[in-house]
Amino acid sequence: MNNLMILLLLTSTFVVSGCSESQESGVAAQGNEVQSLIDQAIAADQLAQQRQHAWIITDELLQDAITAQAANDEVAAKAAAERALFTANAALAQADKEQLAWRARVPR
Amino acid sequence: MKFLLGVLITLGSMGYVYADPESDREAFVKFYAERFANVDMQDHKDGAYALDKAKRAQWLEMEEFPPYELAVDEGRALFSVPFSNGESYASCFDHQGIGVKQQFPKFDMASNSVITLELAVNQCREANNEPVLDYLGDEMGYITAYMAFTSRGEHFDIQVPDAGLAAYEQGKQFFYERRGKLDFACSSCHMTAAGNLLRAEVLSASVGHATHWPAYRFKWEQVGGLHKRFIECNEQVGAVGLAPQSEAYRNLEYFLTYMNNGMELNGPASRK
Repeated sequence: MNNLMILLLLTSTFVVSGCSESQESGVAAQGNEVQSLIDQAIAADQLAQQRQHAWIITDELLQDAITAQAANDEVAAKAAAERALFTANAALAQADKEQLAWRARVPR
Repeated sequence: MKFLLGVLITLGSMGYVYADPESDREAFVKFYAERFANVDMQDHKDGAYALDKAKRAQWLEMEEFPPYELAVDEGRALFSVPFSNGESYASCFDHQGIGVKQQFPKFDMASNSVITLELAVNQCREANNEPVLDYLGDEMGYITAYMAFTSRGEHFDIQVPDAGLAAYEQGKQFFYERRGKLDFACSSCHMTAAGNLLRAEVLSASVGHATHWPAYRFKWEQVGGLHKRFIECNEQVGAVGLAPQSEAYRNLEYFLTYMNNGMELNGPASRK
């Protein structure tokens, strides 16, 4: 009986420590994912700025993402970073489209 | 030969072939002449106040005690103060800087770029070892307000030499390109929707946009230049504004002012 108790205790210790490690690595992975999203959004926004097509909201969302990341709120940070990347890419798509589209608006 | 003809027809139908600036201007003016058949073209120099009787009446009352008057007086005083080397602004401009605003912006062959009045003022200061002025600051507003005041009644006759065509085309592209989260071009508000209301404000016609700068805007509580307004316009549609006197804004001013050729200068002005 005593042996069984010791076995149960050891097993539960291993399970708890294993879970904790996996939780820590999960948080770290999410942090890396958020940082990657922020980096991608910054790169796309800088490209949009070079093309004189940057949107104000991208910078605001990036600030939100960075602030949330600093406060260890990974969920809010990821949401803001994803939106920042979306708006930065939308600004670039606008720049691409307008490269030709503007000509149709010139009165003749 | 057939291939070349095909390419030319394709490019032409897509609008790739450059129109010359004067054809652009004639089409631009015709657009507003048709849209506002009851408004004299010269009246567009008053912006939205040419399009709305009630707002014009209010504006004319404001003009009885114009809020830019002090800026003109300040500018007159600053303009006449000699630099530390004994020279003055007068030494940098034709006619001692009096009545010259209609010459700007101009294309400068030496620098291969557009020179606006504000840039010329700072170039004058640099040439005389004076610190440059903030393009968005009061002192630049005062000096250009005085210079604009001395050009009242003159008419724009901006020239685009062959070397300036690329700058003109870049300015033209900027004017018609949609930007920002709201996906608006300058032309969206000031051509397509000109004369319509944006909330309580009447959207003015671009054919008079270059005539009256700098302007005292009540929301700014200062006299500011056209580039300050460009920044504001860009930001209003959710786009990041560019630096004042950046190449893109100078080219935009070049295009816009060429479109205003023949219009009478009436700056400085007051605007809400």
